[in-house]
Amino acid sequence: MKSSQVNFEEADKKRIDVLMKYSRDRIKSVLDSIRQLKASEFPYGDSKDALCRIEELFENTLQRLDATDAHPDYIKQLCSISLRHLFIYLPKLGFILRSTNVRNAFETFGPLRDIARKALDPKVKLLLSSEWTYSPMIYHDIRALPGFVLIGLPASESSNPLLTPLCGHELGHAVWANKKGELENIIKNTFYEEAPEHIANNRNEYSELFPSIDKPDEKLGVNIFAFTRLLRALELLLKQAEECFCDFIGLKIYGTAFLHAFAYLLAPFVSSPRAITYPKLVKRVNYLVKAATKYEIKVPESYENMFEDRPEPQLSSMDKLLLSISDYILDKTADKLSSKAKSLISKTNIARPSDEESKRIRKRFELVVPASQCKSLADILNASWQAYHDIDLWKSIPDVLERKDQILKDLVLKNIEIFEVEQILNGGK
Amino acid sequence: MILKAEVIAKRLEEGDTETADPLVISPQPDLDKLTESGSASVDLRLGTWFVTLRPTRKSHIEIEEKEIQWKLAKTHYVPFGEKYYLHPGTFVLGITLEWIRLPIGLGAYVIGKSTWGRRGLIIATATGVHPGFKGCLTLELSNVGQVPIEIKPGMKICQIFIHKVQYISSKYLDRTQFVGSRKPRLGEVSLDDIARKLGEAHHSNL
Repeated sequence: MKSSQVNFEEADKKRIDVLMKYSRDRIKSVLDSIRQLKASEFPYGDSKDALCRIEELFENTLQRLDATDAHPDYIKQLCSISLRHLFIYLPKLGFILRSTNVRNAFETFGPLRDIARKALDPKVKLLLSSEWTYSPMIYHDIRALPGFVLIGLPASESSNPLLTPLCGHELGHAVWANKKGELENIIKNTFYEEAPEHIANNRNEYSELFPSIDKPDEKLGVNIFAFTRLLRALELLLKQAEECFCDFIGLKIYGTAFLHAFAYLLAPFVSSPRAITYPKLVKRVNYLVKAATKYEIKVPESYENMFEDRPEPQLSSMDKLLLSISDYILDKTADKLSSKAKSLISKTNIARPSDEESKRIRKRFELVVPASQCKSLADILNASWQAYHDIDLWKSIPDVLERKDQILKDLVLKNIEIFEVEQILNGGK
Repeated sequence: MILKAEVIAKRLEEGDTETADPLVISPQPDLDKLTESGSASVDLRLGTWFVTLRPTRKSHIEIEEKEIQWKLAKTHYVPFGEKYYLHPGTFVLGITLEWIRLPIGLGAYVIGKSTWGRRGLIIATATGVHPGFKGCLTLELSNVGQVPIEIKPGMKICQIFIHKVQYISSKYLDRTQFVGSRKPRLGEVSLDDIARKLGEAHHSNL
């Protein structure tokens, strides 16, 4: 063997050794962090369970990296996979840590997990966290955490039970993932049916952007250039449709309380350009109101007037056209999606919100006491919003009125806890 | 006059339906068992929230310290099914699982249960509950014994004796700062006018 070849192999081995050391040390660091997190005070078992699963994943990776006699290519691949895991799972570890923070409304966990199990799978595990981002968010379909749903609400509102209905929207994303094929087919079919009409109505813009196509509406399916470009509109449409569908799921589960929570979160509008993967805000609210009518859910007075559209983003002519297609077809799809959300939730045994029940609970709130024998989380939350908006509530009790918002939150959370306690005692859980 | 359990049970039953100023204990105890108990109190259960005072860089707690809850208190949540250990000499604030509402004509005293007392667990030092109170009751738990004690949310921890209160006008109610809370709170201590004036006089003599 020539000496240069020996040197090259030695250098290669050294490089692999360094890569291995980096990888091992990175994993050891994350495992140390996990061990520290395990000492946290967990509010429920699902959080700790998620942590243990991630620990197992990294321990297995470390064991595989310790097989030092493996082929360098295999080692390199392992190093790269372990690095990818760090990118994926470090944010989840932060999420798990924040799920233990006592600012969270832990009382909502049991009833929310019950809803998640009814909507998705009886074995679903749930993590609720408060995130330092204003947008509520969800992680699901995480490889190392099968069957886990992670929902985060804004940290500043983490102890506010009135925003719990927003979890319904987030849960909707997991429902969408479960029914993805079926739901996407509804949207794709509408897209192929309706896009030609939009093209026909906007022939000038199309001709300018697709000069090689004489009659773009007729050639949509056969002109590969136009079709490929138009697929971007379909991608936008699918994302927008998912957001609308999730709104419908939240609305169907929580009724009017969802509308209030939605407005609290987003009204009148965010003063930055519209995110193109979301419907226009005014349209989105309009779809919600139409769905509420279909679901026989009461819409708060002047509800739609609370919202305004965000400014449109600066887009190229092509993107503007594609976004207009997506907006146009969403308009044709929204009704189908609300029907689908309705039928999916109706098939589960999630209790429907009842006006009568929420009125009964609200009557108890007037006395500053929780209601007993509640039938659903939605009823408690609907009563809570009624109490929140009642300017006369507790007017005759000055010491309670002074701290109305805080006392209402505490009262609602206590009511949710009592709801769960009664379910446990009655053998319902 | 202290109310016997059967009277309390009757008042709770009435309070469950619509009355203007009801007595409420929620979750409600089993009214049949309460009636048959023959006692003159209702057992209350331990809730899920606890507060401990944590060591900080502060030398002491000032009399009128503001926002003491944020500065000194550490909140713990112990879910049903889990345990909390009270070590000898430790002090922790707990809370009742029950949300209580006392009408204008009733007051109450919360005291420990003798079985716990005999193990060294002292439940409360400030036991009076005024007419019109609404909320969960903060419990000052301390282990004065020499052996660590295990406690669990949901277990019976104390008892409430309810008594009638004579009054002339119902418009004057005790304005407690602890009304309407589901978590233990430290509250704020403030000097009244007399204490303040006496304090100022002392300084002026220096």
